[in-house]
Amino acid sequence: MKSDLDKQTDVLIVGSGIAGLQSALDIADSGLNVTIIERSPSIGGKMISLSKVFPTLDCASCITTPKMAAVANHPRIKTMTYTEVNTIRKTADGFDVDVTQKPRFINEDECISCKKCEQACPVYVDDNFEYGLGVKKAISIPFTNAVPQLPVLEENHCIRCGACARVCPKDCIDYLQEPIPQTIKAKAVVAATGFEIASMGIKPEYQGETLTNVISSLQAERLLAPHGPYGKVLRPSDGKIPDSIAYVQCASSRDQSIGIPYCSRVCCMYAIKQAMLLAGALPLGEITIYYMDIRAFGKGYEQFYAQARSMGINFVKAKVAKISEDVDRNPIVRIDRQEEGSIPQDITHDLVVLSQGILPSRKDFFGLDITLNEFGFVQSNSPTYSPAKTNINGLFVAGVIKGPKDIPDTIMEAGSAAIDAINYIRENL
Amino acid sequence: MTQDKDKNKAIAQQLKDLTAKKGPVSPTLLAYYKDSNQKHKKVLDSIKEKEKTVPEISAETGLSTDIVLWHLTAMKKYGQAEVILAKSGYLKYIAMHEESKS
Repeated sequence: MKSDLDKQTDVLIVGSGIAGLQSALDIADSGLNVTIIERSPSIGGKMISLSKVFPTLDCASCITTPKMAAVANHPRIKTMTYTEVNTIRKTADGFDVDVTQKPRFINEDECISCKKCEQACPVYVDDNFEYGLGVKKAISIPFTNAVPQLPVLEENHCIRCGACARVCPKDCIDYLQEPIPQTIKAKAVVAATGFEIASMGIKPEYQGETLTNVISSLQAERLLAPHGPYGKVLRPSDGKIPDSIAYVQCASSRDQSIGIPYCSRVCCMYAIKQAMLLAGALPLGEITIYYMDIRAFGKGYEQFYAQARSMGINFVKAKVAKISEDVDRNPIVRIDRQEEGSIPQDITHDLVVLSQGILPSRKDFFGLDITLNEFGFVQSNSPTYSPAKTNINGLFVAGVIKGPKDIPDTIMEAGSAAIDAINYIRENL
Repeated sequence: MTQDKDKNKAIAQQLKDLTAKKGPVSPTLLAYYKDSNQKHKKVLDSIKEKEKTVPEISAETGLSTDIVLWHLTAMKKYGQAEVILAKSGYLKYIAMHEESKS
């Protein structure tokens, strides 16, 4: 494990999703040095796990992977993966950022990514990259196009059989590695920590945590991805090719009772995108979207919605009251159509996807006294002219950390954060 | 040969040091590993001779369908089983023989 990492940088970026990657490239291309801190073992964030993007249906991986490679090979960008940011402190000349590099239990300099350790490991565990649908080994490279291509040994799943170490041709396995804490000095910080989706259990009436065939929107992304867990769209309870799939919109948004009163902005469009992809993958399948109202706000979104309707996707204006299942584990959706005189109706599907709302991924913001809005997202200090600026001088934000938004807006704001950070350094330091 | 011996000795020493530092492997983890491997073997044995669907394997092994699918997903990923595609219903899985793996 590297322990001689540079302790100083011009701009430190927290997070390496599409916002962090874009900001890093823009800043580094201007001649400043950048350090990216990423808590996962690979850069790429959530976008690298998506199937395609709306409304163009471009491959998400084809957009993200070149940026990941550009960041990894950029002479002015240093990436620290599998590293947690503990605290960020404002100082007279910038920021002190305390980080902890977690142990992968391999020698990163020597590893040749041969995957022999992964093949030899006898322990199978849930794959968190597949959001629990797939399987990996206790030591594994996180996913096919991970950057860096380095395995992580999960200490809590290792039975210490020594199989990985015995087959390693470079003797890289180091069971005794420890976390490495260090402090990095940065002139400016860009926080691009992204989002989490609301818990599957947030609405107990949907039984998202107990019914196997009720899955999250991110799990649905993996089912549709070319390198998804099953290689085909199957339902998780028994591997059946689903004939009937339902989407429940606003499954955890626009609901004061669960503390998420706001619209998550992207759920309508990602559900429509997934429905269109499913229609292509399952020509015999029937796809239904239960919605309150469709919010197709962006460029080309309304046409995308119209295209989905013309493809035969059923849009049913109804509220979903509850979800249960029959003896064959088929989810039963109780709906209340939003029309006069309607009575509740139970409809059976093979698979149900909950379109969950978006939450900020950080609540503590690393100990910084940053101004948040009423929903817990970072409040811009100058929303009209410099949306990336915060109440803390030298700290900029990019992407969903400021509130739910789609990928084009995220990339645009990442560019804005980069320009603000560059100008700040040039004008103040 | 001597190199292998030295390597194995070094690994054994590292594992010994690890146990001294962090205590033994938790019995819960060992029980999970044993149970998981037994199930994995059951599923693999079931598809050694003939391709089968998840419900067929489940009926034969007594394992629940979601557990069967989980192990088949692992087998597919790590080259122990291959899938016979279908347009509807259930896919069929068959174990890969050593010669087809290479």
